Amino acid sequence: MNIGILDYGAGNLRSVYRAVNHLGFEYTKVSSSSDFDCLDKLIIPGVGAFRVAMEQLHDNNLVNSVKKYSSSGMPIMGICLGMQLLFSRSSEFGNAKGLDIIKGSILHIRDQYQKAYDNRINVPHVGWSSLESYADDVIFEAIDKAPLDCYFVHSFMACNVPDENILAVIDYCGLKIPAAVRVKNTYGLQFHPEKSGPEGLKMIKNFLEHRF
Amino acid sequence: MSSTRVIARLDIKGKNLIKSVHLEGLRVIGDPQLHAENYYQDGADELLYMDTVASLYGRNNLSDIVERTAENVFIPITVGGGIRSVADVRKLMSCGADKVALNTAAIENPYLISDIASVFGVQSIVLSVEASRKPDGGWWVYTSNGRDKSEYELLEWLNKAVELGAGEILLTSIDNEGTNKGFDLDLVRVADQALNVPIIASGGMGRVEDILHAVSAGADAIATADLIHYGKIKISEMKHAQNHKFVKVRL
Repeated sequence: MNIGILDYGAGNLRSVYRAVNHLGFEYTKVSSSSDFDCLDKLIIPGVGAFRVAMEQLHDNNLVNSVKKYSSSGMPIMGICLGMQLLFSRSSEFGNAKGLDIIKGSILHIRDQYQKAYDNRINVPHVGWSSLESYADDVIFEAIDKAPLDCYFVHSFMACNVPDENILAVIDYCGLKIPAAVRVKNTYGLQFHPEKSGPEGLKMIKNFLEHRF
Repeated sequence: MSSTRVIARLDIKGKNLIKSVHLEGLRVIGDPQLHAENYYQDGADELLYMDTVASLYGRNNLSDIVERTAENVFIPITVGGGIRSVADVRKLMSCGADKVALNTAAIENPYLISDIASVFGVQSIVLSVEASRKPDGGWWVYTSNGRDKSEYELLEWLNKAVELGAGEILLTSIDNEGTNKGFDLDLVRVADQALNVPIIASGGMGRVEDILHAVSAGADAIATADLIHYGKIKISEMKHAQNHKFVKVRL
């Protein structure tokens, strides 16, 4: 199986590499549109800023490749910023367009909280939060843990996401934050499965092993 | 809300996991990597590696240990001791660290905090504060693993460091460290009331109820060391005993 990890020059991707290797899989780095040929699965990691990441995807002519890959039903797992890039747009440092694979906007947690509660909140949200009523989906297969805690590090959150695309949410000080989303075979995880212990690794394994 | 984190703290000297009392009087315990992997398997929420002699030599020597640990441990790893520059942080992160803990170098040059935050984000910086009670009330901040008294009083330093971009505070009581008599709860309370960043209570944990006390005082996480190193109690036992209506942990 040919597993690609999107490498667009952002952040530290090594923990994702290590997790994939640890699970007994090989991977190739995907950094140009030609790398998409004969790719079975794609992981989009991501640490850093939305706008910069999108610019890097544009500079490397990767935007259309990823969109085409997703719309043809090929499996993608976007992690943290890699999840946020799947959405239509982000308010991070002005307004930036995303990949627009999933409808919705990436907005600052503090703004959303202020709107709802007129109060202050600790941002970034760093730590373990419980996925609420996670949906019956292949990536959660054989993880029968309730509550299921995953590790989050983020300042922005997905908003106005169509209900049918949401697999799991967390409650952060009263805010319901989408934690796992899916369109076709494209997944987005707001948490870091590669840092979420054995259960997080199991999600990656489920994604890598499932025949979509 | 986020779960209360139970952090396994591993103080390292050379190649060994060690244990101290009041951050002094070192005793060798064993191979840090073996312990780290056990704690991961047993449900630790994070690992904290501290190079206890790094400041003496002016460099962090943990990159090898961190790199080997990161191959088998899939929870966040924080590394501290002797970190003096953005380049040091980059190196440790490429070895598998998710966050760094800063103490001595940040006190000598507080702008190191903002320099690192601007490159890696505030979530990557844990400010390590070693505090000891003053005879007349309040706390002094120490550096170099409790060896040297700094010019800072506790709150003055905490406020300054958080303003510069410290994302989290590892708050170690030198007075209670290694004594098993419980965390310095006044210390936690004072820091929590002054700040709105997560606080990790460290130094003195002796029994599982200390977790509840630390959380009640305002801690978001607790660091435990010799209790688990000496096998007095396992992390999983600790967490099962302390998951109730006042404390929620990841099980």
